[in-house]
Amino acid sequence: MRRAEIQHLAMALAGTRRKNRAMDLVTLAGSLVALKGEYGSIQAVARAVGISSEMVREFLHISDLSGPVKKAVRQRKIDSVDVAYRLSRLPRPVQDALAREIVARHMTSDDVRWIDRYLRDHPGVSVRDAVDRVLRSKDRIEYVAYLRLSPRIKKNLRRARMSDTAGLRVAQAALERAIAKADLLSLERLDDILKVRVTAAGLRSLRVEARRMGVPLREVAGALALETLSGHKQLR
Amino acid sequence: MRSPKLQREGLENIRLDQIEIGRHNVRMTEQDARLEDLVESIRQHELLQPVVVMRRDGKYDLIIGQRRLRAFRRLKKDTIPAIVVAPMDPAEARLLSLSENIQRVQLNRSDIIDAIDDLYRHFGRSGVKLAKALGVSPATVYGYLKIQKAAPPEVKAMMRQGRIKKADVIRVIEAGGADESKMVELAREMRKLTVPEKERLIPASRQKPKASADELIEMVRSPRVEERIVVDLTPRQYDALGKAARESGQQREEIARVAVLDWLRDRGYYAGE
Repeated sequence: MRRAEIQHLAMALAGTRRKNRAMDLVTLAGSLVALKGEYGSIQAVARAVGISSEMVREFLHISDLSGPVKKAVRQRKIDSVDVAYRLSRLPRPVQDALAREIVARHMTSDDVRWIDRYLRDHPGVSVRDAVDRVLRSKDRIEYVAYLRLSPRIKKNLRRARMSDTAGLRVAQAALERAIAKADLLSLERLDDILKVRVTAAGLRSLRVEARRMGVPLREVAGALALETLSGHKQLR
Repeated sequence: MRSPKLQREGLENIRLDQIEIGRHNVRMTEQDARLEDLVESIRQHELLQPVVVMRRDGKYDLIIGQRRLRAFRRLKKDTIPAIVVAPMDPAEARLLSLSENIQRVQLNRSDIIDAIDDLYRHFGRSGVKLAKALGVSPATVYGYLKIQKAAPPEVKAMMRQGRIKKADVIRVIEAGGADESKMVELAREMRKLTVPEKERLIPASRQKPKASADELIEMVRSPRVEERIVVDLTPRQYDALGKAARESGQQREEIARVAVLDWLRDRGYYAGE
């Protein structure tokens, strides 16, 4: 066995048979392409690597992706074989447009499968419309968080010569910046509380912000407001 | 009837005019679908896989490879590479033809339905045995049989024209109950729906069996939204909840839910379960 062959085989074994891959899919597909050249057929590669021929075929199609999509796969913004394979079967302009949406909206492989299906059934529909239509039709879980201004934050706001209402307005704007538009479903002011309705990704963003500022989740809105006003990076 | 085994007599180059596309071949429609692609592929790479034929009265009956044979005829070739198999009974030949095609799903669904219905009787009406012989799941066989039995002719025609998918026809049959006009109306709407909407059709029809097709479509177009309220606890409070969960063998969420309900009941805000 030659050195290059051993390397490709090792990459293929390490990349196809475990969940946490150490390499991106384009690199892995490159090794499988090399092995196919070496062994002569998909079946022979499948036997050597110990996965199904169908799986090998899906990996090989990753090489057919357009340049921008390959870049996203190399950066591991798209890291699912199923998603990459489905993209590879689409015309290049559709691939590019859908890949942008996949990255922006944290889509699952089910989402991509359904959008692919919808686009096939509705050839005249744009990728953006198909994505909107499918994602809006999904059953979903929405998270509602009640965020308030803690006495400590109110005190700080007063020191900054600001009323609670004005503080909440600033907090609202800060939240709209901190959470992606698609993940912030609604935002309401109820007296001195902000009622925020978010997706799972939106809730993650809120938690990240709370952790960054060292405050509990319920105080994140006030802390964001204060950060905006005073430029303080930490509130302790 | 057992699953037939191919007894090869040999690989030969057979004259095209000696081969008949017999009754054993299950492909009755779409014989020319994407034939040009195949013609082009054969022109470039030659034939990758021989057709399968069976000797009969000095000629040959084609069992597998109708499109390949048509492509060869279009290319005006004289002969085609063919695997010649020992004579077998018509049902066995039909089973072989179907099992080859059903795996690749390149056959029109209505051809599959006709063939499965036919073979089902040959297999003593055992869907399980037929599924085993075809190498597919029993659910696949029963799905096709259900369509043959329950789908209205108009829905079958839509399927033949590729306007509705097999899984959607089964959904339409389930959701339509015994009402054929409702099935037809639902079938017409299926293409407009997304997969999550289609998946809600059967549960919606079970929830409201008497709903019209329009009402069902309206129902499936509204996604279910589950609202979860985020409760923010300090680390110590969270640890306490974890301890309670460990000691009672329940999930943290369940304990929190019970605690909230108890509080509401105790103060008379809630009287339900």
